[in-house]
Amino acid sequence: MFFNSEKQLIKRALQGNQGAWSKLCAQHHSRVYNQCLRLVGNPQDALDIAQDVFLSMYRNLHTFNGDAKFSTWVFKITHARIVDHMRKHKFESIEGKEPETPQHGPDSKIAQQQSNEEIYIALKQLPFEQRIVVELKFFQHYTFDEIALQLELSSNTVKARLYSALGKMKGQLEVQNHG
Amino acid sequence: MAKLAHLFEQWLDGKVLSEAELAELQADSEYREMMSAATTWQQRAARFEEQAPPSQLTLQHQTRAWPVAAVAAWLVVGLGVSGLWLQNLGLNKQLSVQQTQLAQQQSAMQAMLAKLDETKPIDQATLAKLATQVVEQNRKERSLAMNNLVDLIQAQRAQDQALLRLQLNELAEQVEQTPTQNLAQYRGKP
Repeated sequence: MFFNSEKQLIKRALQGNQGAWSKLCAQHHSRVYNQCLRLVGNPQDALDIAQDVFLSMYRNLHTFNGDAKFSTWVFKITHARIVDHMRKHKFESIEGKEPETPQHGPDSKIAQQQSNEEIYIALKQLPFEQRIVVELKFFQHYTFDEIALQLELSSNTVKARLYSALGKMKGQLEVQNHG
Repeated sequence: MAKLAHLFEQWLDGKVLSEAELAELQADSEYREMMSAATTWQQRAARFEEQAPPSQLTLQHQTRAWPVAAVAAWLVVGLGVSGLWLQNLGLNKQLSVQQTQLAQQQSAMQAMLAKLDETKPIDQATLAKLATQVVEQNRKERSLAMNNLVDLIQAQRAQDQALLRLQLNELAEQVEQTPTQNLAQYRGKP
């Protein structure tokens, strides 16, 4: 194989190698799209943001200096594009839009779609700054230090946001348990 | 409290805690609830099914499609060009064969013409000779026929003369044998 490492892929993509760029995109597109999907809760918005992310990646690939992981750099772009999207739509995609009705299909597929919808709804209950921490902590399994690095915050702030999000869950769990 | 916070952070960061440490956390109502909430989120994350990005999100697919399309186009063009080249090669081969055949035919015709040119004077002489021969033959035949005719005429004349001689002789004999009186009487009656 010609492109064994991410560094080689980036180097070749910077030299204009389309195949290397395609491989870089292929390595991250699912994660970026799903991250956007969880954070905005709407497939169309997630798609728009993910496309913006890849465009930004393409335009700014030369600025990636290799100090951090490429995935961290991709996440920072994703985060920035999501924040931009939120500002543009004044959070209406979170507060206003209902999740799209799952398409008809086999029962297990519908059940899976419903499970995902529940997660989108649960995430929507949280403010964006808490939601992003929950996303990184539980869905992407980063440590507090890694999240702090990605969000350019202190570890303590990250912890405070997560604990606050977990505290909000307390009320919901109590309602579920009593219900 | 600081110890519990540290344990909880470690637990959240995926470190495996001992039974005692877990029991210590569970003993605290605040941390127990946060652990419960975190477990719920962990379960949700585990349940979450990654969605395949829609086909529109295919920067990589598009960029991948371009080289594929380019390769396909090159293949089509290459096949077309090679097909044309092969066809052209075949046509060139056929053309060269035909040209060779034409040249051979031309040279053969030129050779035949040269031979004809060579044979023409001979033929003319032969014809003249033949004509002369024919004329001479005709002349000979005519001469022979004339000779034959002359001979025939001469023979006929000779026969006529002989017949006339015989008749004259007979008449002469008759005259000789006839009496003189009769002859005188006859002479007296014209």
